[in-house]
Amino acid sequence: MAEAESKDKEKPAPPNPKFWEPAPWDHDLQALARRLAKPHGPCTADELKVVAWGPKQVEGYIDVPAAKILDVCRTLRDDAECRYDIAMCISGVDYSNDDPQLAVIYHVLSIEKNRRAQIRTWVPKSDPTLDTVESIWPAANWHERETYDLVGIVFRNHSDLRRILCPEDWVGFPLRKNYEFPKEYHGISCV
Amino acid sequence: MASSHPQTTSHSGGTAHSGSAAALPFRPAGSGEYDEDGNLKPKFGRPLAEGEREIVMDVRTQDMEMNMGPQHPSTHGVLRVLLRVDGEVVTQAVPYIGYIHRCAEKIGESVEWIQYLPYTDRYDYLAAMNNNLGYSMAVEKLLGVEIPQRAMYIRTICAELNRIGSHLIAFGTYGLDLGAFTPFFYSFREREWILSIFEKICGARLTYSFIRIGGVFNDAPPGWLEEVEAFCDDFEEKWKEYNDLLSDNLIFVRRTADIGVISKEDALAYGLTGPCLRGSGVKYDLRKDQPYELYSKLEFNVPVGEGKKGQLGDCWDRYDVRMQEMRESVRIIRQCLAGIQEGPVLAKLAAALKVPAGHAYVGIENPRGELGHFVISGGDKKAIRLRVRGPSFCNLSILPKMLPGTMLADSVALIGSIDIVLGEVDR
Repeated sequence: MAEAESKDKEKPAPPNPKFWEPAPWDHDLQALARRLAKPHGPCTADELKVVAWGPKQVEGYIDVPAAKILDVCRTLRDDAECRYDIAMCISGVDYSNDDPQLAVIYHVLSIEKNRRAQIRTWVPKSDPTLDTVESIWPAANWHERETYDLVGIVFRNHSDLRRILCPEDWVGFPLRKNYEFPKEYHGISCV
Repeated sequence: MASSHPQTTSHSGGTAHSGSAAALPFRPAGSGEYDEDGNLKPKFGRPLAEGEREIVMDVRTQDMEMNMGPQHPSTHGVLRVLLRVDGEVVTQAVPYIGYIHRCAEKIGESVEWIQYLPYTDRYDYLAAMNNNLGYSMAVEKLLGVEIPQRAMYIRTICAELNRIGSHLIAFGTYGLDLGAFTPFFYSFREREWILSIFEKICGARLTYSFIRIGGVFNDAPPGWLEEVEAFCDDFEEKWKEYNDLLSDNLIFVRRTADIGVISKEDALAYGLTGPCLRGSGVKYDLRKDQPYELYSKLEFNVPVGEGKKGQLGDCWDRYDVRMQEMRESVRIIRQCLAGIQEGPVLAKLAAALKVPAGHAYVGIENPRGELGHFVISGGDKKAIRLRVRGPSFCNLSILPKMLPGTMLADSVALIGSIDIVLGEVDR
């Protein structure tokens, strides 16, 4: 009996073959990319790269150029097809040490249309600056402060870019992959 | 003298928030308007605009900065709000958070997928079941694992029981904030039962780690489902007592109605979710609009604020949404108890869990709003990035917008009505 159980444990159930499919409320990213391109949006068609939903990476997103993030977000909020009125989550991501860039991923939600979408942009690690979208969604204020605090992305024109979770004199950005843990902090040993 | 702003050096945010009395929604009558003898000049003759209040100050006031918290009973944890007050009127508020920052996101990158589960208990410690559920669902989305039906039922029962337990705290402590001591004991009487129900199924009273990746940790012990049903029967009676005690209490209503009005536009702009958003009249509940697990099969209403006692979106509306939600949760639990079938409760997963590469964002309806887990896996035993979108964090960010213009005593009512848990704000 015990042997049969251990054999069962070795063979996990196969995944549901359709597990990666987007939900009905996930915006069709190809349609959204057409909307973000001219004439409705600020980008040209080849600036936008759609990474579609798929089994290899599950959730899709649209890569947009960092220089146009403010205009893209304005289109996301104001365009009649988009109407994304809530900036749900703004996350800074350091994928790996070998990557010379940091990603910022915006998850947005439209209550009016009951839809979700996500866009991603890249900034170089040598100069991680990006325009703030606080003027579009005030909710971005704290999200961007947190992203600055933990990942070290500097948001241009932000009204109050200070550390939010870590102490103000903290050194380094903890969620960078090359972050080194401090040996001590104000005489408190951290080892 | 009246306009001199004392400068402090203890904080660095002063320059960025140069809020002034001119931006207030009302004008404190007579502030700075004195005649040569130092007497207050009367300020009459101008009709008040809609929504404008005139506060007559009979003493000369001066701008003052003061700390509310970090050790203050009505901040529900270690929240520090630096208030600038002109007499009794708040003119500026700067929240300082991070006192109990425990690096949840950094830990998420450092430990294995299954090991992270106990850390999810610790952000919103009043709704640990819901946190477990949110994290498990995000990892399950990447794994593509199918959850057994019985596990889903037990998950839903636990999540809704925890929602009631969490709202009971919100109800009890909100009364406590505003000077009503009795409701606190009434609410803890029922909460105690919920905790003992949880203790019977998983052994823990606060940090459960019961809902696991792939299902739930163990099946319900004999008699557990019957006890949940007995709780539901009892709770519906007790719920009426709460309303008698607090909801229609005249003192309570006068301290919450028309106070801290959050308009629909502001609620959306600041990314409010959960009862705070619904209190402003936006009918949006993830369980209804983007249903997960069993919720598409269950019947329940989504209560929204209606402005029954004052303006739409005031503190009383947010309070009322939570009260109504408790009853809806009982309805949901009853349907789950009727539909639950025998079966396995945990899907088979590899012991050393490797999660396939991918991105997944899963938002669930926590008692406080949308709890989002955004996980990025590189196909390894650990996450590349584990982002937590805490509802309390986002709901709290409206504070600098809402507090200026309220009376100092009302700031307690406002902070209480947002119902934050600092464990989740700081993570």
